[in-house]
Amino acid sequence: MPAGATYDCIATTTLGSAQATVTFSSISGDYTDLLITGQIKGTQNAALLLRVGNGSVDTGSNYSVTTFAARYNQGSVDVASERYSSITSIYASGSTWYSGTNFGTLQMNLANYSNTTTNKTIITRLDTVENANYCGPSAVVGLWRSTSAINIVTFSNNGGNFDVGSTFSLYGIKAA
Amino acid sequence: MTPISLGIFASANQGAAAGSFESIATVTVGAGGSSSVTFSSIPATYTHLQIRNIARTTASQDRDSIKLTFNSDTGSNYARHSLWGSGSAASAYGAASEAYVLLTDFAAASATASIYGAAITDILDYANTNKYKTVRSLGGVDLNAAVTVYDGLNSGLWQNTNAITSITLTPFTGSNFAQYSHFALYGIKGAA
Repeated sequence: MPAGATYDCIATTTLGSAQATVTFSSISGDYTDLLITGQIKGTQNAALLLRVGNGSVDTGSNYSVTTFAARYNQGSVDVASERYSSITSIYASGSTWYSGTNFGTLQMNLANYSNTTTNKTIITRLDTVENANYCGPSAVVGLWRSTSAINIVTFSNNGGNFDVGSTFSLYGIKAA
Repeated sequence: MTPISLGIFASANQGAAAGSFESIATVTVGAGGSSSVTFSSIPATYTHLQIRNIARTTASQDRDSIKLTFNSDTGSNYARHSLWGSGSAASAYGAASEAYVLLTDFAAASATASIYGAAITDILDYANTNKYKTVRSLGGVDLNAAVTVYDGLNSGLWQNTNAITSITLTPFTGSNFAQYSHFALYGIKGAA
């Protein structure tokens, strides 16, 4: 049965300057799940991309994603779902760009990230909040087709930068 | 196949350091699979429960769901609602007087080997004897194929004021959870 804390903050970063990528590397395999939370603002309208790997980030076409989003855009509302197979990253649908001091919120769960038997399923909530324009909640399920343990994750903003003040926190969750 | 039932004793967490998020019990399905997973004798010492799982079932199709029931109640005492994306459309569903809350979606036997769906399920105020019990879940599976897959949000209601002391998870269609399916139950404490 369990010993020690089950929910640990492994690392946190708050951007003091705009940068293209945020990486957590040398992630311990001591946990069962990883949770990454963030408040994110991009310097341009772009998708949030995630690549993972073991030792180095996998840039091959080994990812797939299904997204579900409710979107509000200046009075009109729609819901949509998209799917992409054999792509080079997992992306969280919706924009990472928000005007002014509005930041989107991220909750990304990497389930059983360190087992070496199964492919890795990653489930995400990304919510954009703005007073008037394009915004909405989304749910994303991504797949990394590898049985390798994940020990590195990298976020990017699809050609843009993450803006000053964006935060990313990595948590590890242990199971009994 | 044999169902897995994991009793939880009051002493189970004595070794854990003080914290507000504690691992209560974990089941990893072994070779041969399991027809269900049950967490029993759940202590009432937490405010909320959370189940984090990956799963694959033996259903003869590419995906399956999981039925969630409490305290061995298989009567029509549940309600459930879902919002989901199939990869091409967004949809919603609701049903009253069901025999379970449904968690969606997970890989099944026709899916590529090694793919498992995942979900995070919160069971709120589970020990309160004045409220019906509310469940919410985020989950899904992507099969890297041009087939319908689901990711989405599920909510459920157990219309019973009893404290939840046991939780059973059963494949919706398949007869078994496949090997390496993994279920972890956590307790979340409120402020003293």
